[in-house]
Amino acid sequence: MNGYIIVLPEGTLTSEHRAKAITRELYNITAPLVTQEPYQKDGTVFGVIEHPDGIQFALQVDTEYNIPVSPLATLEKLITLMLELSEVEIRQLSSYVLNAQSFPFGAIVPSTTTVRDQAYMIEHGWFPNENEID
Amino acid sequence: MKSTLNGVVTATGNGKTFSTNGLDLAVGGSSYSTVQFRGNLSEAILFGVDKYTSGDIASIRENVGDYFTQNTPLLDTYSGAAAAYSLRKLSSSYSGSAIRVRRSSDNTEQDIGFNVFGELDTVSLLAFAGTGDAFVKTWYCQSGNSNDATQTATGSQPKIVSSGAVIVENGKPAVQFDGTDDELSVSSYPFSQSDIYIASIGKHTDTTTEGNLYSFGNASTIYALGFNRDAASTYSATRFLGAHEAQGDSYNQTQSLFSQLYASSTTSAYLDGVQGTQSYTCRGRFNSNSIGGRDGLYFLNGNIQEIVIYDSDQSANRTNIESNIATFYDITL
Repeated sequence: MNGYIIVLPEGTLTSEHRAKAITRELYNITAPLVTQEPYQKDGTVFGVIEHPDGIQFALQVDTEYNIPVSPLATLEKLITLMLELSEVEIRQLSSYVLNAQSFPFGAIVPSTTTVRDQAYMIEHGWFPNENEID
Repeated sequence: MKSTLNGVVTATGNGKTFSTNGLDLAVGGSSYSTVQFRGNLSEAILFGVDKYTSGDIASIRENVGDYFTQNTPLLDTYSGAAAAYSLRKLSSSYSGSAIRVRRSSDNTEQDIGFNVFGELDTVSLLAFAGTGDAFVKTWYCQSGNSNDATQTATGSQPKIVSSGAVIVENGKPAVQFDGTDDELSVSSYPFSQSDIYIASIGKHTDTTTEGNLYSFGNASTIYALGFNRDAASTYSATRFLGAHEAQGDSYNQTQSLFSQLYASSTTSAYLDGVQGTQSYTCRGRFNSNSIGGRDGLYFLNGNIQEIVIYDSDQSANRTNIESNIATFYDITL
């Protein structure tokens, strides 16, 4: 399912920094830093969109998107970024990395996180139509 | 013996029989006189039986003609493109790759070029992709203007290989957009003047959901081609400068050749060479240039094989350009 996850600021991390760090860490599950070529240093899985207020950022996600797991993948940084994960969900995520060759992104979305649809995002001003022709 | 030129018999006469006159077969001259050919020769086929009376000559001629249509790069004949994206080589002077792909297994990337026939090097592509999937990160611009189309987020990259098989349409490789978030971004608005022409091969499989094949916009003007905006199962090409100047018609979700022309202050849209009759509109966005969507929304659910963009009036060349494209992609005009 295609949708959007609005990323809240947490601690010293702004919404923007946290959103960009999460999508970067998702990329690193497939291609860990120790294996990366120079062209992979900015790789991400999901796009990040900015609210016109300049404060809120969201991940444009596909919950069915399959993330291959490298045998060298580590999860510590991703877990620190996804503070919404419960202890059970952290164990579940760790299990995926340890045992699965790949997993759908939707399987690691925290249970307390809402994936918003396009209508919600438009209604809440994420896609202002002043730049769009109708 | 009959001589034909472009399929028309131009001369008849008595031929020579090699087996009885003892003359050698010569190419580029005559074996029994000093007359010599001055010019270029690309192909000569000698059959030992009568192919005219049998009727085979028509299909032979079509085969040869198609080959030379397909193997004379489009932009060699119709030059001046502002941007050009294709899975075949469009210009003899272009020395770059067709696409940069990422394989799903480890996010490794590789450039994929063309084979000796000027078509996508699917051997290299499959050797790289293995049994998994491969996605297009960059669709290189072959116009020489470096208007590459790129998507850095892996989740939004369109697919070119699925489970170890190249995605094809009418037997030719195709870039598949998933209709949910796949999109390629072009870094700059490709036009500098108002007269334009855009030809593209693709499809949108949804009958009601909106989708854009492309949208190119600067601060004041937008050129876009989309589907199902004003009615189900329709396509539309629009030019927006304060208001829509749009044309379109019904569309049956099949692989088609779409073209959009703005010349003599008039917008025209064509589907497989037939001009639209309705004033249907589509979406677009200012200061945004996208292939497979409209900058974050209205994603194409289908595929694209080629988009050629001219920053000029191509009214005089339109039918020939579209004939070239249709021949290669097996589209009936």
